[in-house]
Amino acid sequence: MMLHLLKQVQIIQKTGWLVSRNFGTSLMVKGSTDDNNNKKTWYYRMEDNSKKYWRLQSDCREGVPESEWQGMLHHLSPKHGISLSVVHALQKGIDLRPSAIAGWYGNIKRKISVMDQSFKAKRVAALGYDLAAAHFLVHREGKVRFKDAQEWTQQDENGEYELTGHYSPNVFVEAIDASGIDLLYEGLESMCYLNHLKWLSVASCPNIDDWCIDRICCQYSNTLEYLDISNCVKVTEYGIAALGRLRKLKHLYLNGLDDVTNIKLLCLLLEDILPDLHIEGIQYMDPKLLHHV
Amino acid sequence: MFYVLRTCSRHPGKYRGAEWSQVWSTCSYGGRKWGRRGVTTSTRTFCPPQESQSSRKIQQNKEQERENQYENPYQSKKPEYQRDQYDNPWQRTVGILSNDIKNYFAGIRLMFRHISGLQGDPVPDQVPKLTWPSHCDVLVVGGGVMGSSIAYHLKERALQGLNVVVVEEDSCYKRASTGLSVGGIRQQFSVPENIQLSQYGVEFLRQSPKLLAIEGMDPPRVQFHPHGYLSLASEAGLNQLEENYKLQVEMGAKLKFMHAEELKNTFPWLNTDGIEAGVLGLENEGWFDPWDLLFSLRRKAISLGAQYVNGKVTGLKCKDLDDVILEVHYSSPIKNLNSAEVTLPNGEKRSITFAVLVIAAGAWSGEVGHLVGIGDGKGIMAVPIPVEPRKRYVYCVHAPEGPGLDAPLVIDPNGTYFRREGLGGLYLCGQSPEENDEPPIDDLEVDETFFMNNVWPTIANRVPSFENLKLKTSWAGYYDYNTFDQNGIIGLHPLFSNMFIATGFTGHGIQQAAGVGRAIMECILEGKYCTINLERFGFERILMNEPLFEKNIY
Repeated sequence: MMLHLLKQVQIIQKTGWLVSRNFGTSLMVKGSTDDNNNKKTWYYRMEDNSKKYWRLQSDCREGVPESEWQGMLHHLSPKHGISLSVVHALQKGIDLRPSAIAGWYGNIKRKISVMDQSFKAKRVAALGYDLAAAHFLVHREGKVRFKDAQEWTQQDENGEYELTGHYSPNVFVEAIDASGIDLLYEGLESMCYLNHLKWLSVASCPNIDDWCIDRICCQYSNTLEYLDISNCVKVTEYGIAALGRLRKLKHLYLNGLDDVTNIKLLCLLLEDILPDLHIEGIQYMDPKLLHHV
Repeated sequence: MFYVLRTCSRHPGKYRGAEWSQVWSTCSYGGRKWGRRGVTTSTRTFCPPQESQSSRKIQQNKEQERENQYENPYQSKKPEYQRDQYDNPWQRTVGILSNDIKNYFAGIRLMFRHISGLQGDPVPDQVPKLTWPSHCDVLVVGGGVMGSSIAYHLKERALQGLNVVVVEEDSCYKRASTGLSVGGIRQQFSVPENIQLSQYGVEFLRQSPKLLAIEGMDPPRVQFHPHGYLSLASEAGLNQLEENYKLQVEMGAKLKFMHAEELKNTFPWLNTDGIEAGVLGLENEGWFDPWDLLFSLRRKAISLGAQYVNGKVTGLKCKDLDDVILEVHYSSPIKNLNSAEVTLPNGEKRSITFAVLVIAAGAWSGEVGHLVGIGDGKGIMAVPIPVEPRKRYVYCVHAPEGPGLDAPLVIDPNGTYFRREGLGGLYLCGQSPEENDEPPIDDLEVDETFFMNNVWPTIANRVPSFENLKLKTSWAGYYDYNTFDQNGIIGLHPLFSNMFIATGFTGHGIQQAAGVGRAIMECILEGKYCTINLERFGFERILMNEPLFEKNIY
């Protein structure tokens, strides 16, 4: 028993893959960003090209060959010169306009949120995909509802929430309400492989754009039935056209997206492809026209 | 620094090495301008001083006199505005300061005029004049998406440390492959580096509103349609499809392998006769607007300081590097390109002296290679750059009962492709003709019989609702066709110490433009590939006759 557990821990540490407790069946799941260094590669990675390529290799380029003359100050000269990042920073100059300072600060904050929301393999290795997504969302003031549960799991007034901290099988996320979170493209990657997700709301998330719609369509194409992208101003007509890839979609909320070009035509076309679809938020059916028919 | 000084002195027998990457990094000190006419240090180390200072001044005056007789778009008639380009540093300082003082008072005058309401349209004197870039650090031949991407990445990394000039023959891009392309991007390749380049291309497109934004102007809108590619395979190609699929998934692409029944269920409009399986791209695949990418890259490169010159490179001069010792030969066949002759649209010929040349001329890169003798010599120089223009047709058809909104870009086993265009039932389609059936490349006229005989039967067979379609419009564009193995040629030419080639992408250049631009930037500034290793795409594979075939080229 102990050996078995130890082996499991070793496997998790080594590969970041998750092996379930059931003997014989393993959840062969893989994180989207693979920090596994043991991948078999046959294309030339940067470190391996010296072994596989027939050209004279960079050893003779690194320094002066032995037989050649070197000056006494050779060891003082930098091997690769000044780092380009230093040169770049020197030339960029310091822009002290308030808008530029606000932009610089905004950049830093955005980088921090990208790092914060990006996919963490260790979280998935410890919790499994569904619980990891639940922790990710609820910690950032989102709401999650599990399959066969009636209530939403969310933070209470003190910021505390109840979620198991260990992997348990048969826990599936069925509904996600991410409307309070400023969800990013990288954040959607942390919600990957949710095979039972039926309900998703990213309403009023300002950074949801066409690429995020692409990711949503890729990750939840088989199961999503309800999608709410109200007030996501960055979504354009191309993103809405791509919603046809969600084959099981039944409800679509597009409040606040009246400015999208050809939105009414898109709604009609989406209804053609997805027969059970019901769109709300856009007045695309003019009842007066139906009277004439 | 010491390295720079040592390379300047001429001592036979001392190690000189093609160690210009190190010299490069010492030379790109911020803003340091030595020598004549605002030339940076790099040119000084590579081009030995040939004329003395005074004779150059006399030549300058002579040139000015000669040119003042003709209309000169590139040189201002009033020499006072060129005071900041004198050779003598004291004169240059005085010139710059006096220009600054003049501009300051002119600015105040403008402000008062504006306040008092007298100022209307801008006075022509205040509009900045173009000066001919007679010297530069990097000369990029070709201003399409590849050349613009290279210029953008170089300027973005080196800012004022590099003087980049892009020579583009046609500012309207009438014949350039970029604007005439269908604009698809996919990760379904069989060469791993191609997949990596595409993945970076998609990431670049996603971040382009931030990266290519210019203050005060609209951000770029690349209009990415995230619909995916559907590659279909018949029984003969099934094994290859599976192999490719495994590689692509291992590299991180999000794809779905579907057999014929599943294809039929997902896409009811698809006729799966003769189709065994297909691979559908789920994420990061689709099509976008190549014009927007080109102009955003070009605009951003110009805003960062790159200069676009409207002209055609008609001559290249080089010199032998006798102070380079090669380990095998005693003589040194390595040449160093130093200047290009550019013919302007009005017939005038001017020259640009450069330190590094990048050939990104697309379909005409073979011709540019011939300018310097690649393909006309002996031994290695007998091998030309194997890139030639090949005409491909794109047809726009109207099919009201066609596949509809959710159609991906479908690729038939015989290479025919079609994709949806807009919301009005329009579709773009095309096919690569057989080797012996290549259309003539003299002009961009479209052959409609090719559509009737080859394209329509295939797409009507694949999608029955295409049987009653109507051909609305069509156009033709050139592939920069690599006759050797239909994949890009990226990297230094072995016999030239400063010539890069970035061409030959044969139809998938638009997806790889961002990645290749970054790779060439890394080669020039760091001396090696840092992110994606593209050594296998070098020119050497053509010399060694080791083709890098793409097992699913469309």
